[in-house]
Amino acid sequence: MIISRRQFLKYCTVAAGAIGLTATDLLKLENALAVNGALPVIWINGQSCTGCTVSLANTVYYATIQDLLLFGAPADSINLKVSETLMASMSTQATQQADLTSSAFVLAVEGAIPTPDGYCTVGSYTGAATENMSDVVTYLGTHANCAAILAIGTCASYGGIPGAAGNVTGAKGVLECLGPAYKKKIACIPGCPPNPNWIVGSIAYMLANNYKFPQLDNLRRPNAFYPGRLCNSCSRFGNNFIDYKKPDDIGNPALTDYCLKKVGCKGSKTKSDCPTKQWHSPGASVDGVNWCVGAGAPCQGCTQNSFPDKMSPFHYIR
Amino acid sequence: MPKITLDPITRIEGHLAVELQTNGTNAVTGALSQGKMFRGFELILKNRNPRDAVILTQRICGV
Repeated sequence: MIISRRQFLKYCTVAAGAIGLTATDLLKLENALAVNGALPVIWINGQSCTGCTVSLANTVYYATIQDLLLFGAPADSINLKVSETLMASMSTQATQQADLTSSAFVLAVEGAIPTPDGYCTVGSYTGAATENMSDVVTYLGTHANCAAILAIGTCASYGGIPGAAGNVTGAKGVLECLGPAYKKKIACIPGCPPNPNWIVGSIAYMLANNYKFPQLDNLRRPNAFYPGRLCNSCSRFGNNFIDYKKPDDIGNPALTDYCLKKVGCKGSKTKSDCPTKQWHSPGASVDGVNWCVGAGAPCQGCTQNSFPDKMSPFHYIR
Repeated sequence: MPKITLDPITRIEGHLAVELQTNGTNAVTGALSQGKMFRGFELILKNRNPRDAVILTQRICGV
């Protein structure tokens, strides 16, 4: 029986109270649980919904989350030194760990970064009382020991929904926040959320290739996971259209393979491997069981830098 | 009276800071919590096709 990290830490926290273990010792336990010699990853959240972390936690195809964090071989694992969603220690115990940046690490950013300051603050990674997310991204991203930066999700890649028209927070992606000087250090894994395969597959490539990125396209996305427009690999391409002019067709169970372009599908403008690898993989190396269009929902174009404004309206009804 | 600041609170969705005021010995006398992040979905939704609202607001939380 594999004991989950949550269960183990729950026992520890309860036992810690009983035997007087302090928060510092809890951190040491966390570090001891992490795989020795695994790639250190610092995962920080800006204006995020935490969907990217949840997607990561559901990884199955390349590795389960417990193998990725705890039980895998060092060469196949990551040492997730910071994850505000998952880690047990909190406050400066979490953000000012003594050896946080003392050796090479990968910075993973989830969520958009607001400008001007004040819309997303955290206390603190540098030792100040509190700091803006833009300061944290700059501090960690420009650090000498930062080997690579992964912008996870469309928000961190290109601004996403927090950066959509009408926002007052000036939300930006990591590329825009750090500027062109750091472009080569940043790979984007967009999606809202991204498929866990895209995140874990990219990390797996970096682990096997000395932290180098896989081949990236012009939006800094790994070609392996964003190979081409959806229509190129969609089984419905070329079929008849579901049409809003015939409202009885929408949701008609007999028309399961009709093309959704006329009801708002943005697949023709969107790159990803959703039609083939799909979502909710049921086991290691097994393709997913369904995807948006397969379930009858027109593609929202969530992996593109034009999401959401230029993908709107998402549904055509007239 | 001494204060304990916990920022960030972990193992939650989102960004939260908590400031505890203590009597210096053994009791918490006050607590203030602070949400540390703002996106402004209501403002982003203005002037959009109403049918987009479902698609956009579902991204308020990804848990």
